[in-house]
Amino acid sequence: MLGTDKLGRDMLSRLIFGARISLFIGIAAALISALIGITLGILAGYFGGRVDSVINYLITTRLALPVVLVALAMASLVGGSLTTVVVLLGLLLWDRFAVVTRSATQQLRDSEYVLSARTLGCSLQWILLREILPNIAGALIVVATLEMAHAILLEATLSFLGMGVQPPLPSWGLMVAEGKAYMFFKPWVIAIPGVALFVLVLAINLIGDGLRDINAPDGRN
Amino acid sequence: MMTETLIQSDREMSAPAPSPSLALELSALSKRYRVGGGMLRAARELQAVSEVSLRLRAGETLGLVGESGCGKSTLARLLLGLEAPSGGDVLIGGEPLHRIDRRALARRIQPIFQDPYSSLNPRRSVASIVRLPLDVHEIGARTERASKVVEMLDIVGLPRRAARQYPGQLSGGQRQRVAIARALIMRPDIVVCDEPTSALDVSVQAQILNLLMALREELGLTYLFISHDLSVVEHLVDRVAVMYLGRIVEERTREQLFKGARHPYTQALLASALTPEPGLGVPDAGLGTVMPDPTRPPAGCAFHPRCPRAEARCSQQAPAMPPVGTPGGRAACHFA
Repeated sequence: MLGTDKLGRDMLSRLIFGARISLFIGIAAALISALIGITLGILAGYFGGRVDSVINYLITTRLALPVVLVALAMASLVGGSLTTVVVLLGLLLWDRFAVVTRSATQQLRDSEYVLSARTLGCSLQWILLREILPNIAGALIVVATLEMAHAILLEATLSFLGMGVQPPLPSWGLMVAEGKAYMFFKPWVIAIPGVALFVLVLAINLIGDGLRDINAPDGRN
Repeated sequence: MMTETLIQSDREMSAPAPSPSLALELSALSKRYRVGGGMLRAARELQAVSEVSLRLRAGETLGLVGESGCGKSTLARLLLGLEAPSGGDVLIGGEPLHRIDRRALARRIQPIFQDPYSSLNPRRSVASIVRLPLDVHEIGARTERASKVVEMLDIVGLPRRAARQYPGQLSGGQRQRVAIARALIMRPDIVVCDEPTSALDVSVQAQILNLLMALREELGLTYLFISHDLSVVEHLVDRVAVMYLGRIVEERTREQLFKGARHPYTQALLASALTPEPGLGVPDAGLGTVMPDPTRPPAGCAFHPRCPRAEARCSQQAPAMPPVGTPGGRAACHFA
């Protein structure tokens, strides 16, 4: 329906299969970075003091690293593959999770329901996972969708530069790269995966907004 | 083994054991914070609670009164084990607080906080909030817990349908009832009420106070009732302790305090109580509005810069506080 690329492969089926790869990378990278970022952030926010200083130092260090550059360098060292891209992005995108979790936890740490959970003898794990985490989940879902979109775009960038997913896997970034020689003659070869990326990222962001609205406690009224 | 236990119990018998009816005893309890330390500035010390000694008999209600920032809430946090004291000791039923396991402590002393809007987790239903202590302590089976929750809701006067609602759907008074239900479901001996009515409307305040009084009779509770408002305390307590800048400055039974307060600060507090009569305006306690800097407490009597009766010796010599249990009450003032 959308024609074929230079090797005669069907564009539509590659596009559909590429969505799977993009989504997988987005979700997996967001999950890994959420695990790292939320753990660090909630510990820093709840304990404060030295723990906070150390974790804040880690966050600042991470923020000082240019993501694309580090990802490119590491991918060229280790060799680009699907796993490499997922792990790399997961290890690089946790900063926003950590920052948001930390400041939200700081606000809740001294709230009276957390104090009363402490006076009830709740374990630390209970307080962090059952009292604090559900109350910051709304903000974290938004961050998760942002990071998912971010990861998808970065994957496309890396694949475009040849350091990400390797052919013949049909990544959208790779499809753009393969089509760039024909850009002036058959512009749809790069326009089609480009539009697909745009629509996917937009959709993820809209889902994030919707989830936050459903999840807000005042939304229950 | 046998003889050992016998000797042990003998020793316990012969030791001047603290009176068994004492629910709570604070001896010279202090809490200092370090504040404002920067890279170049030295941290200053803030004495939030200083040498506070109090006793509460089982079943008694003690009112703790003082203006904002005098250390009332810090004292409550120390009692609840939320913070470690810098000095002194808290005995709960004769046992030192720091030796009681956190979970065991939770069964003996529970708080009711000031703000029912922040003391309930907005993500939990009322049933799950009230059930939380049972869940944490793994008391009873599932159905048993549910029936206990229903029973507790009845006791605090909440409709049963409230169980499925979320805190956001309840009014302030209802929320405070939920907080009370949560605090009492494990039947603690002591309840620390930290200004439980000051965030509520006046009409609701009376309802909550009446509920607290009824529950005291019903469940045999011991209350430490913290408030900045003597008129709230008046209806509820047996004894009143007045706090100023981290110290207890006067302690008397309710009748003695309202008839013949001896400390000028207590007298000012009594004079400042608002009357319900309109048109009278805000009474002037004659103290000014300047609270002294707690990191630099005044020399001598901490109250002397604001005291209408202050003399030269007040700024040099701190008045001694008579020991706990002095008959007829006690006050830390040169003129008392």
